[in-house]
Amino acid sequence: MAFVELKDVYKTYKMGEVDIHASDGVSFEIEKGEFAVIVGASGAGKTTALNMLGGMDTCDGGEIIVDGEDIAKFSKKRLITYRRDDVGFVFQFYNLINNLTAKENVELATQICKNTKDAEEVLKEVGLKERINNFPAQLSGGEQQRVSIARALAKNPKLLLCDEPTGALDYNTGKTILKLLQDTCRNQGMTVIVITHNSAIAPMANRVITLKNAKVSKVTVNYNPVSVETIEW
Amino acid sequence: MKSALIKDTFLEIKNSFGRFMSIFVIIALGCGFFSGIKATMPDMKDSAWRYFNENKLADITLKSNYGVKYEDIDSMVGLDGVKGVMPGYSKDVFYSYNGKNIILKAISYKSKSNLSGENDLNKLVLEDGRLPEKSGECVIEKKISSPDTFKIGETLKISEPDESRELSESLKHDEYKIVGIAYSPAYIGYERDKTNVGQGSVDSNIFISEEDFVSDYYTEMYVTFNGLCELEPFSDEYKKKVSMFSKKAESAFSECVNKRYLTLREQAQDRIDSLQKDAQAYERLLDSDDNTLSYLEQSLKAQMSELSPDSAEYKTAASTLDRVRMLLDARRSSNKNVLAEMENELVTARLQIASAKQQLDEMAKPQIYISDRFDSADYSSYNEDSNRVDNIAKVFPVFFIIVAALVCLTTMTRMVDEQRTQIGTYKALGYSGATIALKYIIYACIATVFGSTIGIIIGLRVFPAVIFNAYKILYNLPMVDTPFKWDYYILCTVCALAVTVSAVAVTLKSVLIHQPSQIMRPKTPPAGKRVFLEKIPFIWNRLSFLSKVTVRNLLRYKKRFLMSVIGIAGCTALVITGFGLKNSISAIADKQFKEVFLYDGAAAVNTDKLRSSEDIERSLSDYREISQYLLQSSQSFDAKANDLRQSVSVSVPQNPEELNDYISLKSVSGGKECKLSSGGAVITNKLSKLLKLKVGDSITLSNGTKTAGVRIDAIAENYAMHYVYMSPQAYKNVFGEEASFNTVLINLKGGVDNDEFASKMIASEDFLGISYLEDTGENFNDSMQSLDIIIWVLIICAAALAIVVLYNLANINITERVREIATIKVLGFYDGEVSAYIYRENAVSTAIGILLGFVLGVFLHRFVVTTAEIDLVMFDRSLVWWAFPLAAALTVLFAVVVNFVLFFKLRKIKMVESLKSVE
Repeated sequence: MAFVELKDVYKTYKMGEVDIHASDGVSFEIEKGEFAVIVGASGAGKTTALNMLGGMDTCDGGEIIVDGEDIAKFSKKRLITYRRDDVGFVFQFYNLINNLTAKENVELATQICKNTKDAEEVLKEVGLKERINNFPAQLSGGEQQRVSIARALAKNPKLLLCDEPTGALDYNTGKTILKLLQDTCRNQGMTVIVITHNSAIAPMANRVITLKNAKVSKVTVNYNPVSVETIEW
Repeated sequence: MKSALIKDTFLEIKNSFGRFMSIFVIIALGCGFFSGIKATMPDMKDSAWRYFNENKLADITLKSNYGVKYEDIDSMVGLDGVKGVMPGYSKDVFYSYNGKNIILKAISYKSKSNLSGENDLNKLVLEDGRLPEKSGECVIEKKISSPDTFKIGETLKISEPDESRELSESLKHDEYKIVGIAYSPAYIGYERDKTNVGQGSVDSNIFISEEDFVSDYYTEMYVTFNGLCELEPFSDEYKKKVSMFSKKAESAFSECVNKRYLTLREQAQDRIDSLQKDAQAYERLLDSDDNTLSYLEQSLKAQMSELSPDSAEYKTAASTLDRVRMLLDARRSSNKNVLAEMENELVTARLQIASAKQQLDEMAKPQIYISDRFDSADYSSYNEDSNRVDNIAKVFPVFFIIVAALVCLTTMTRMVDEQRTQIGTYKALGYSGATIALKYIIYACIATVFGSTIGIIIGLRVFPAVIFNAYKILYNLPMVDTPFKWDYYILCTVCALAVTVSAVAVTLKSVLIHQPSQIMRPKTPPAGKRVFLEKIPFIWNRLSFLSKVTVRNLLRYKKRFLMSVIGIAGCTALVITGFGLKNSISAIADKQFKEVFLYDGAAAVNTDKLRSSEDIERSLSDYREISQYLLQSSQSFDAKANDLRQSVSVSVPQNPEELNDYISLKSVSGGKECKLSSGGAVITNKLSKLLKLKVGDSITLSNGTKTAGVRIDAIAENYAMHYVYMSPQAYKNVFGEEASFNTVLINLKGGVDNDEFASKMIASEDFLGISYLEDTGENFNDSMQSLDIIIWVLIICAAALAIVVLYNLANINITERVREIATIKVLGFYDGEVSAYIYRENAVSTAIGILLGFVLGVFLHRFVVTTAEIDLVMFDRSLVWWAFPLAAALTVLFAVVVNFVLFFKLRKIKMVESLKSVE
């Protein structure tokens, strides 16, 4: 069985009179240690898929299996525990707490879960050795995203979910962030799922899942992913 | 375009109703509280003013030791500036109730008055029943201390207090049927006039028909003056005018009385002269020989035949003729007896002359008694009490207004921050800064105007009524008027608008100076900063991670932190003051009746039966229940000093060295026992404060019959009423007469039944009754209970303040940090942990607020205790310890309520918020 498996997942949002189908029978699999990219245009259902996968939202039908457990059946509280211990989340806008230093932002995540990595170690790993005691306002966008990634990694999650991690960054910085994610996947065997509308980065992934109109339109398995440096867009 | 803007504004209100409400409520609270408390003093004074005018309260009352006669009234009516004059009678009588003589002052009431309009003064205000219509009827006043026979339908049997006189000399009947309960505007409080009978002060007034008085002159004359109705009756202007008028009235009245005195003197002199003439004639007659007498007889006869028999000369001549014939007869018959009798007659006539002369010499000089409204202690204290409320109005509302301004500022700042994108868009579209600002200004104006309108309507109605109600235990006045005050409304609304609109302007200005593109970009949140605490590793390193986060957050939003601390401190301080005040008031009874007064009971001596202290001692020796006793003279006096006056009780213990077994006179400075000297007096604490006296000053005591000044030796601790303690020697030195003992302070042996002992004492008729300290204390406490209302007002306002401020701030705190909260939710914080993350900050600001509130509360309590105190008592200045934990607990409770509501709000925050771009 695959590490991550969505089976016929439905999600409908009610917007007043209209029902919007954000997931209309979505099914895909991702193996452990893979670098997966979910691509699609705006409104294709990417974020909904990510939210459900990350335990931030529930589905209306189907199964979401992560590491052998169906999180779609989790209670609200169990879902929090799942988010806490099993998922690392990287936001498009970093979502760092402005009032905390880089290290403290990482600690904010680690101090509530077990099996964590040392905050300073992780920050060194993401290349912020010199910036450990800086506040977010003193960091560039790329550096802030690194802190965000460090915060996710420090929890030792089963899954690293990234929502448009380069969306707010310039080209070069975006590339280095992707590199960091790819390296993390390769070196630590972390399962990384990146959501993006930029299909150009598809070649760097092990698996590319394309969403269209709330359905999976194509799943490509890439046996020889290229390094991010070689990709241009 | 304009209508679109207005529509947008209304939609904004609808969409952010919570925010709108928070401005609305805090403005309503601030304006309502301010205007309500501020209006209390004018409302109280205006109500009294209207009451006095409606019932035509006299401006001055005139009396003289020669009464008031028609000619006095006529001269007063003719005086320039006099508006109305009403003569009246009064008479102090005894009413025996439960074996004790109660002093009633019977005051005339014009049942068949031919006076009307401006001459119908001091009109009675009927509360129940009807006014007296015929002879033998009366109306009474009802007081807490009134005997239970003071009921409509009962008949009062009264008696003459002066044993040398009969009641029928003054009043037609000795029984009066109560037909109604009424109040006189001349007595707005519970103090009644002084009297020279019994204990020295009238217990209660009764009003009886004018025709029931038997007297050929009136005892008093009430006068009003032109143009005084239009002046506020407590104002200096009124005071000045009334004293000017009363000087004129006094001299006119005194001229009349003097004239009457001189006429009376003349009449007396004439009588003496005629008596003397008569005696001299008689003497000459007796000395004359028989021939002369015979000649006299003849000439008298001749004289009489020419006079008409009705004329006075004829009568004089006739009586002289009788005497001449009698004398001649006696001499001819040598009747010694008749001769001796005639000699005696002359002696008697001479004695008569001597006594008439003596009477003339002793004829009292005419004396005028003039009193204005301020001579009534209650009138003055009503003025002071309302001013006292005004003092409170100077502090509390200011505090509320500061909080309201802070709340508006943060709320509007938050609103503008939230709508940066929109504001930027408008600006990019080419709207001018003023047009954009208009929306927010309208928003703020609507909230403010609504808030101040509702707040002031309620505040003006509720606060004066509630506070006045608390004072009603002390005053007999109809319900207070609470008219709407446009000036307050406009003033408050303009101030509130200035605060809110400037808050909008300040925040908008800081936004609008930027370029649209910059406005549309999210506001850079305040950068994280190291806080000073981090420089103290000793403390910082000991804090848990989340505590560090809390400390940083608190210090990051300093304005908000400060505001919540102020709001909470205010709440705690108000609650402390409320409970502290309650205790300060209830402690009076304990202190006064357990620590200052130590005796068990005070018995009133029947001074008609027991005339000397030996008599009293003999009678007391029969009671084996008594373990010790002390005779005391206790009289009501007026104490004056520094142009201020208070009613005091002058107590003269027979053996001052024994006094501390009965009354503990501890000096206020140092707590030493005060000794009564043979020259000075010990006065009580509050009296010294009210009359601005210190040790060594002199105080003037007067009670109608005597006036004297006495030096103050010491000031003693005391909590209720005012006392002047003197030794018998000092009393004699000061007043020139011995103090007569009319009270016995008694300590009973253990196990004696109070009621049994009391009835035994009364049954003996040697004593009029005994009042036990225990009962007095309880009654006192009961009468103070109504001040509780003020405390509840304080506590409710505190609660409202705390809840509004806390809710508003916590709400802003949450909406501003939605992303942060959503993020930590994504990070896997449980609901409880999320709440704790926010609550920890609230908890710290609450804790700091409470601590600050403790400090503030101490000062506020001290301030309120001194300003809210009534003249008669001294509140316990110390603040009771349990007010602190109680205030803290209540504040925490309010905070918990707010946080409980917020818990649901926190739970509703969606994690998806964390994915949105920063807005």
